Amino acid sequence: MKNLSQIQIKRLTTVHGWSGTILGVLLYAVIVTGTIAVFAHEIADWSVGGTGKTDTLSATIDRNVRAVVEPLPEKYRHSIGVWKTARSELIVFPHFHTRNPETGKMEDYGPMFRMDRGTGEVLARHEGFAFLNADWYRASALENFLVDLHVQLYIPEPWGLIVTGILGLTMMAAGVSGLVIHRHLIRDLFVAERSGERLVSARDRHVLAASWGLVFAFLLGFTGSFFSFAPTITFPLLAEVAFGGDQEALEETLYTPQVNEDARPVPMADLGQMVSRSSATTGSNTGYIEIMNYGRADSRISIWQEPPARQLSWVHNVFDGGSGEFLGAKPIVGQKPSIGGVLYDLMWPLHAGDFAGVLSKSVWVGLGSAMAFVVISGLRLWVRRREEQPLWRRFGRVITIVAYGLPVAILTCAHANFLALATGANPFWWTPAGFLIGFAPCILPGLLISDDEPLRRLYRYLLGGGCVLLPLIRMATGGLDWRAALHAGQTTVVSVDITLILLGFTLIWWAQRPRIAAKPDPAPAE
Amino acid sequence: MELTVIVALTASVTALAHLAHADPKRRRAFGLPLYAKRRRTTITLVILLLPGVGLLALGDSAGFTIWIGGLTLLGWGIAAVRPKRNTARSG
Repeated sequence: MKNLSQIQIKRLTTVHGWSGTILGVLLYAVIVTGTIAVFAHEIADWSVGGTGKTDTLSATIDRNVRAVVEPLPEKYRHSIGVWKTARSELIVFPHFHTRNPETGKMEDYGPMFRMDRGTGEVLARHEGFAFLNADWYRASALENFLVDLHVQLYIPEPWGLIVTGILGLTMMAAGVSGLVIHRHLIRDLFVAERSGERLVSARDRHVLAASWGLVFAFLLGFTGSFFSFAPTITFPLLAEVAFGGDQEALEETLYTPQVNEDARPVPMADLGQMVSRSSATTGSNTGYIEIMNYGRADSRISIWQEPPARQLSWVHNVFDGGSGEFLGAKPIVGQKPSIGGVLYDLMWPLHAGDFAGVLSKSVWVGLGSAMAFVVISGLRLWVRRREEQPLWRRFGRVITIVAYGLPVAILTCAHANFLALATGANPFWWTPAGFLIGFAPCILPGLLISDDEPLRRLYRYLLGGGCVLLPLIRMATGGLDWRAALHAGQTTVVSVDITLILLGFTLIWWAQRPRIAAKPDPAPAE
Repeated sequence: MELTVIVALTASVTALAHLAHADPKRRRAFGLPLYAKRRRTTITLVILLLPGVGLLALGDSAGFTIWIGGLTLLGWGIAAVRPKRNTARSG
């Protein structure tokens, strides 16, 4: 790094700053939604809370799956996905792969059953390209919207994924260029923000957060890019090069257990017992089940288990569908353990912090918040250096509006979700609509209030009030009250409510806190 | 696992707090006198990193990942708090 001349450093600073300026606002949106989406499952449980959580997946699964699959024609038995929704209902999706004439892509087609796990009653049956209709397979519109916004910014496929992939690369590039520009990373690792609201204070704030978060900025950017580019570029390219464009063959080679074809009819073993065995062997909960070739001698049951204690990766257990024999754990990718497979397995837990329950997710929320702070403090620093120019001052105002407006809009969409559920409207339509409606109270004050400080206070009040009101709205619109939630064992509902109330009052306290004009510290650092 | 990680983080954060307290540039930036005692940087770094190595040695990859993520956050938190002059001088 010492070999870089002053001119090279200056150029790199320009690239670092301009790339951040152009893509920073979008990057901030991806980071904030991703930070919230870390708790997507808990948000789903909380937002649909109202039905009792029952036992593990194994109890009635065999009876329920048999009831809907066995009457179906042979073509639907090629592959059957089975999982549990946030409402604790069972989804059974017998399907085959075929080209969707609307999208031109190979997609899963079949009837999707939503069932009561206790009684086995079919609550809904839809037939078609199921994964194009989130309300068929997801219980929570709020979870669906937040995840979709994070993954592809609500931009149609494949462009949304490509944009978020580029943003992930930008995050990595900003980390590397920032490291090169700021040559005293170790020396400045403990230099707190110097007071006085000077330029150096803004610089300290950005550099300190960025230095501590450097490793995770790179990690989250890389893994995020991987997930964005895998379905849009990497796998299609791999299918083209290695499988003559046959993406289905690629997926079977990578993910499906290998078995010699044998179409003889064979009665299926008890699925519930296989799920129990899988959970007991791995020591963790079952996440997803896939049955291949139902009712045939070459039937295979794939059961994906959440990471066991002290491990990061999911486990893929394979059973013989006819005999129920446990055939062993298969690598998530490929047929034999490999370094590539291990790295692939690590992508999801390292991106989402989804490996040790609330503890790991809480740390990941903290890291996401730190990344959001780095982006906003970097944008503010860039504007601060140019604040004499009216155009940059206006851009500074845009940063304030987006920094506070995005969380306000997310809160509004959560309110809209509950109101839609209470009134019988479609929450899958009203939740995104609520997000757009939420932008109005964010943009208007930004246009009407000229001073920054009162504007920020107003946003903090809006955010705080929105957080405190959300549990009340949830309960007022038919959600579980705390006593009923605790009685039903739904501690997530109470935990999320309490977190929102505490967060809301903290924001209100922050908004009320008088601003103390800090005196500049006596000594310059450099 | 939770308890092991919390113990590991506590040990490492204590070491980080000492490093921050004795850091010469931090003290200079806030107009504080140089740290009067020996900084014992090497032993502090060992205390800082040993819990992570221990978690890896125990095969606790999840614990190690939480430890390093938590250390990143808490380290930032420690560094971001400005030193109090009266207590810092006593160092």
